[in-house]
Amino acid sequence: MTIRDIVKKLITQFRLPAGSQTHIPQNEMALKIDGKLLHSIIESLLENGIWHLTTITAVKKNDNLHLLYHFWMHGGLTLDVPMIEEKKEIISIADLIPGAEFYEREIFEMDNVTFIGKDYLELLFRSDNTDTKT
Amino acid sequence: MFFLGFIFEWIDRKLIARFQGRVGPPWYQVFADIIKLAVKEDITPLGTNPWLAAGLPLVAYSSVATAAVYNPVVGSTKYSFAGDFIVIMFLLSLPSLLYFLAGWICTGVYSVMGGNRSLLQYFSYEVLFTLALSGAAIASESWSLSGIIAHQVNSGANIIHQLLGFLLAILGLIGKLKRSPFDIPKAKSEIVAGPLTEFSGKKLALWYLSIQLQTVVGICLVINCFFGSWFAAGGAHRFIAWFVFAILVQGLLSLFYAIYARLRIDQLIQLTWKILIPLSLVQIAVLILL
Amino acid sequence: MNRIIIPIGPQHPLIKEPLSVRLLLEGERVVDSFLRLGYVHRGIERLAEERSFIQNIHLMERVCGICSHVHTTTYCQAAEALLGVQVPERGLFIRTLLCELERIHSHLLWLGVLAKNMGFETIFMYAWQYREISLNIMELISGGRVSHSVNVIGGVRIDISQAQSGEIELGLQKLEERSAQLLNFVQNDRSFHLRTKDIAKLTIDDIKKLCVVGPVARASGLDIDLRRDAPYAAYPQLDFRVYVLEQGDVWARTMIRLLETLESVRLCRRILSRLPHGSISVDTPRRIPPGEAVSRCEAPRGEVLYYILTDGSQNPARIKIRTPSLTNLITLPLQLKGLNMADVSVAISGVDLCISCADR
Repeated sequence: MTIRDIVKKLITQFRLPAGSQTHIPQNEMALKIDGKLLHSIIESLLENGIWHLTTITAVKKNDNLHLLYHFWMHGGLTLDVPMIEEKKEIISIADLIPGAEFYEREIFEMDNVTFIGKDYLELLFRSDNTDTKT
Repeated sequence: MFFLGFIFEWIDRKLIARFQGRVGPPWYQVFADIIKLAVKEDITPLGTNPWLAAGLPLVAYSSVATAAVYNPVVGSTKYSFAGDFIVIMFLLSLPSLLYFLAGWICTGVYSVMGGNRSLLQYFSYEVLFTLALSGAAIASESWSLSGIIAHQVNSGANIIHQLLGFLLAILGLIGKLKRSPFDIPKAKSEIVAGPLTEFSGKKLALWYLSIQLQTVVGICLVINCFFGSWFAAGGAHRFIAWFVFAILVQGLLSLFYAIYARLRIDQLIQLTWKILIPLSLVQIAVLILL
Repeated sequence: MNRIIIPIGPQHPLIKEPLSVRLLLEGERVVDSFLRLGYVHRGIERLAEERSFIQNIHLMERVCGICSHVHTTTYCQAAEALLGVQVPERGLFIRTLLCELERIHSHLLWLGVLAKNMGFETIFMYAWQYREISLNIMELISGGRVSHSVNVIGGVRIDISQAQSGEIELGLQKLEERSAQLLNFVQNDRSFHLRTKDIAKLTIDDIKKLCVVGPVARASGLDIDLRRDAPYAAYPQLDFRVYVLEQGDVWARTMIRLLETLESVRLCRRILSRLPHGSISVDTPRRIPPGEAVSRCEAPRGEVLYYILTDGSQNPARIKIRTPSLTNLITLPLQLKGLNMADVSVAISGVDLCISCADR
């Protein structure tokens, strides 16, 4: 199945609103989803054979923090997850994709986002004596 | 003997460089290195006994120097006595033990690990070297080096019927000197410099000098045991012959350095005990039976 | 048995860039390892927000010393996608040529470092000697040995003349012979096998779970290569072979990288012979309209991703860089578990870390 078909399937399966799907230049499909659906959508992606997570980007769009999950399987797919303003937390996907651990740690250290289900106690990127402010 | 150490080190480095496609250092490099090392700051880490740290390289150097005195160069020495072969082997093995002790007294992790590994290697390689050279002693029925040389002058160089022993002696020497491929105790990429990590300045210079001298004495031993027939008393051809054989042996040491990767400690020990030592025992058995 | 902690890094003769791996040893076996990064974190992503798009090309080149060209290629591709411009053919071919030359130089550098860490200085000296040929070629083209600044948004800024073409061809011939020698050696030398076979094995399941990329993934049986699967620059018009091995140990990774080096040399000759005529770049406006773009390339170590968010001003609003070294680092604790201390240096070298890439 191509990325396009899988995205169509996801839209019907999770009843995502129209307009969730956009195109990002240089062959990347983007899908805007809600944070609560993240875990189930990723489970569904794994079932359909998309397991390669390239990275997780934390980006501020319109004064709101979004997390972008970039996948690739003979075509790019980005899941755009906006955070709720006050609480910066989202469910961790490291149990489904162990490779996501370093990316989540980076976002936890740099942008102070809490990942539910995984406590990153040891610092990886930051030195021990930096302040914890975003 | 002291200067021979430098000359041999230069030959070694130049040969290795040529094997590796490089040019190699000029002749004065070896002197410059030791002088520079001697004028550097000497730091003893906390927790290390300063007397031991200073004393160990001194004892190492003096034991090798003593061995050098008893070791005939070019066939003759004033100090030969019966059984001096064993004394020399003992004196030569002392620096390896002291190397392990040097690692033990330093409090750094790298030193202790290096010391442990060097002890493991010590047991394997001293045995191999001794057995390989004992073949020469057995063939000449004398435990004195002068006796070994005299026997060879009379009945032909030992190399001819002990080629296997010669090769095993070279391998044993590489293990004793802790050169690649058997340099696991001081594996630079894993444990920085092994037991010598924390030494610096004059102490380190002394260690290097003792290693240099060990090389020379080792080479001389091998030449005396296997090529002795050219060293009959009198004649300038002795010096030329000695020099040729010395370069040959040093060349073999450099060649082994260049063409093999460093072996792991367990591969090393397996190689020694499963293959090399049995071969040396075979060599001795053959000599006894013939 | 008592346990000791051996620190590898941040300063250690084994690693060329600062990385802290603290190994918990029981005897001579590694039981666990603790990783710390960030020693060369320069905050490049944040710095990029303060600079214009053109200044950022200079900045992105300095993310990594060894794969600098691929970073600027990916960045320029993302910017060009946002602008909607098409780079002329000749520019694309020159970009690709430098990408492949960089691959050759990176793999030969890596082989030397692996050999040195194994105690095999001879191979280190020879591999770096042969690498000089590729560095000379790159210097001929761009004036710099490792840092080229050839890419601009819209194409490249340096052309290759006929005379240069001839010299490059001669250099490539020499490189092909010498790389074939090295490949032959790695295939057949027994002491090399003793130190690299069956060390630090990774199965294809580990690779998939940890999302590993590059030669490490190809050495464990995963057939991915962005040059073929998501072709960029001039790759759609070039055919080349992608090598995949099953063993997954350090020897397999060495073989893959050497085979790729040889293939890159052949690819360079193909590129040179088919270099089209025409201009090498197009003019582009300074301001990029608001939007986002994602661009991926195959660096010598694997997949590089650039995500750019623009808001219509002269500076980007956000640049995210994902380098393959970070992904390969994730495999390190898994590889080191249960390994003999002496093999740690081989395992760490075998992953081909570029910490300045991973830290940014």
